[in-house]
Amino acid sequence: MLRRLFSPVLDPLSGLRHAPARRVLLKQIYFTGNEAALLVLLVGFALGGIVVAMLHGQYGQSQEAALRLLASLGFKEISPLLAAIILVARSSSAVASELATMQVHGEIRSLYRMGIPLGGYLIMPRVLGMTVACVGLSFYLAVAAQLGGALLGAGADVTYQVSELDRMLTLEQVLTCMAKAALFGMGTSLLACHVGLRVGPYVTDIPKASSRAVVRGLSAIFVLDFMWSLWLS
Amino acid sequence: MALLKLSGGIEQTLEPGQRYWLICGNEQQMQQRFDACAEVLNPLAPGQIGALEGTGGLLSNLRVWENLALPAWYHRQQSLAQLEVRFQEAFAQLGLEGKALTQLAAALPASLDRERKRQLVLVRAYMQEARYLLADQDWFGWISQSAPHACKDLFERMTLAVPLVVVGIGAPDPALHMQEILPLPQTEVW
Repeated sequence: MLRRLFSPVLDPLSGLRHAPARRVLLKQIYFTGNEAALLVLLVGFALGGIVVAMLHGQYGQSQEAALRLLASLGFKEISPLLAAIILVARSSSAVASELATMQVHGEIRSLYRMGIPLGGYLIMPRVLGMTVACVGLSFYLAVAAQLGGALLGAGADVTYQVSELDRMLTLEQVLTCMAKAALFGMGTSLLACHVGLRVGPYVTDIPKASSRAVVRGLSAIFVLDFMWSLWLS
Repeated sequence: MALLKLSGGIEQTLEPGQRYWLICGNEQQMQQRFDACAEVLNPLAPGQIGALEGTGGLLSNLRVWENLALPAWYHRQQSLAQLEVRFQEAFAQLGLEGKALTQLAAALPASLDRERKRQLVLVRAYMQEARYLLADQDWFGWISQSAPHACKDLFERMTLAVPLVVVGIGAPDPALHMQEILPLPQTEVW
């Protein structure tokens, strides 16, 4: 009974028993996560500096209050949102066009003929890979923002501010950041796979799928974030 | 021996070393019946169905070596070292070794011509140690007529011990001496 209930999730996950599926998963984490890490760190660092500068200059917040506010905003809201937007711009379009190309050229059919399941080999590793990558990128972005804010706010005293980071951060903020990022990553990757696999038989459908994945992915992020704010905040 | 039972009253016992021609009315039906045959045979020998498609049937986002290893690696979880031995064995029979083989292994399917892709699916079936071979009319026409002798020899050796089902439009050429697979006559309903 329980197995049947969870089979839509467990069956594709069982694909990880197979080495080629694990390889697709690792490649997805590498391309989506590793290759975007530097960009995310730079964006986070700049964002932290900008936020602290604004809080300081326009609202007259104290250094510590500004950093506390940055931690709350950065971890709970801005970082998962920005990381997911970067993920959609870089990877959703890539995943959708890759799957659409496979569909148009009959490669999905070839996989089926080899008895290799679509869910376990193509979809699940991409969804799981993008979800893991989104969680990691959000965390990096939030930490980089905090460091950027600390550096801009404290200048030479930055080591003191960094050592005080654990006082400003709560476990709830970190968990919220990761849970939101996982939700956004999973939602956008599922959408990208869905869009990529539902193309028509023409080559001209491939770029359409790519742009559709980006537009729908962005919409999905904001809808999910709005729903989160409505029910869980 | 295996029973190939498809919708539309098609039933055929497949015997090792025999060649069968599954008659279809049009291209769409041919593709559907190819899929149906694969669906019936895959559970009988996971990872050991050699799908020989005229268009190649290789994945564009994998390199040639990854493509050829994929079904055997996925289903039978063979080590890559074992698969590499079979890969080299197969290409040695086709007369391709050394640097040329290394270059081919690292190539993407998009850079290859159709004839090379047809050779590659034969090698893939060899690496799978296929227990059933499924070919479409296009690929079978190529191996029967214009394929290099080395490919023909390899194919002949592979079909000695396994059944081959060719899915094609219309009846086969009588010169091929193939068993036709036709729908069973309708059972009278009382």
